[in-house]
Amino acid sequence: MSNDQTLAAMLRQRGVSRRAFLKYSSYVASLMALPPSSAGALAEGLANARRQSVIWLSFQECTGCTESITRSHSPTLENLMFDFISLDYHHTLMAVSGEAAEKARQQAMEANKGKYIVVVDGSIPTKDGGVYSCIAGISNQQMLEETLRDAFAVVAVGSCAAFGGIPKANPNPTGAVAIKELVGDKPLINISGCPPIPEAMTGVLSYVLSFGKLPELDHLGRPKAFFGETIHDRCYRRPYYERGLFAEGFDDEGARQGYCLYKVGCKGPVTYNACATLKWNGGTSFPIQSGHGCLGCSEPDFWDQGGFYRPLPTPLGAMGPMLAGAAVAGAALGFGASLSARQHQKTFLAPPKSGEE
Amino acid sequence: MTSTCAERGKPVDPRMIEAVLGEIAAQLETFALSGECASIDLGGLPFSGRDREALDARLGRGEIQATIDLAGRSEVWETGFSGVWRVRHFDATKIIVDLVEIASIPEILRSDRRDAKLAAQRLKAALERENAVLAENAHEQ
Repeated sequence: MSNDQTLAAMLRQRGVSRRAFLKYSSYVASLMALPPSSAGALAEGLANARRQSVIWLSFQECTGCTESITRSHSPTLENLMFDFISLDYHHTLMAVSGEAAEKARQQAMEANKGKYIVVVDGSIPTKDGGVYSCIAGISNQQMLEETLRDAFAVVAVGSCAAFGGIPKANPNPTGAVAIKELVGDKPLINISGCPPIPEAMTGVLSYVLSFGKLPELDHLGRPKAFFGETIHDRCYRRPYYERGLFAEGFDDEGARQGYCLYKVGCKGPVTYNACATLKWNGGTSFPIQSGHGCLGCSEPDFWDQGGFYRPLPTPLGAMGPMLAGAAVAGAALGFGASLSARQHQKTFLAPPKSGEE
Repeated sequence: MTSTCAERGKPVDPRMIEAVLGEIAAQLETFALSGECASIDLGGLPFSGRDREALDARLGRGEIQATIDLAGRSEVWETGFSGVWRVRHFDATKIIVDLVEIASIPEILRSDRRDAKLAAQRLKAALERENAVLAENAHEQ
């Protein structure tokens, strides 16, 4: 398929009308909480855009992010995204390998100078000259720097690329760093999560393609449309929290009643993501709906925050009596626990001090 | 039916439905006076499937219903209130976009003139081919 045609012309050849753009744009506008009236402008932008060259670089990662985006559950509609982009390099998905694969990357960079988007999943090892992860005879850092040279923008997908993730977890043996440490002044969007929600990835790419600019981002470089609220803000168990009704364990009466999982370590109050609204597996469920607290996987250093089953805020001893009180006193103290969680958010999210484990 | 198993037993929130109906009424009045269209994304509201069913029951069904078969199914219908439309896009299993549109006709139903221009060219070319074949057959006879 040619990248010179507009997307409208490309789809027209396949007998698809402009309605497809309007329908897709209504979906993206809804996902990104844009006004419904913006769907028309979004559709027009998409229809007139050229197929976007995307170079996907996978570094210290587990391929979960790729699994997530390729397993998106609106196959009929979201598949359109794969018509809108030209995935010119992705070493896991592409048919060719070795020198032919690297040649494809070089060709895409040359043909789309200043226009291609680099998607990165995985962190970059920097210790010992970056020898801990190499592709095609060069370190990940070298490949990133080389590929970024003429890129339009960078999208770091997954918590490893956005914040260093699991490779950066203590004691960080490879000196892993987040992509933001190496991109210089290139526009960067972080779509964190382990893995990220597929709709967040496709929604952001559609927005960039339609408007030619980055969506509004939060202080961590994440699109506010998907990371503007905490899991807790939109959790269906929130009313139990407000009433001070908590599960104390995974097999007690509170758990059976579907009470709030705050006391069994749920990190929902300090985790910004859209799991509670978009959910997973085609909108089937999300961890809390399946009876397990949120791990906080879309926040920096989530792996090193003292344990997935340790209640917020730390230390545990400080919260135990308060939450016990909340359970007795109901809504008033539940609200107190809420305030306390907010106050402790900064403490919780601060990286552990050296030697503090 | 749009409610899910997880929503069984969850009561309908009449305040939310009244609020949305109030918004629709205000927008419909504006449309009637000025022709200004509006759209409300129910997906952006804390609406359960049962709330949607209750809203649709209040709005009723009008004279027009349409199905669009494009990148998944879409359903469009005019409610019992002229100018108030429901537009619903589905993926394989669930609703992914759920709109109330206040307009003469929802944009998704209109044929784009640029598509029409190409369709006219295509139709003309098909007729020319057909005429050429007929002329050739006539000549052979």
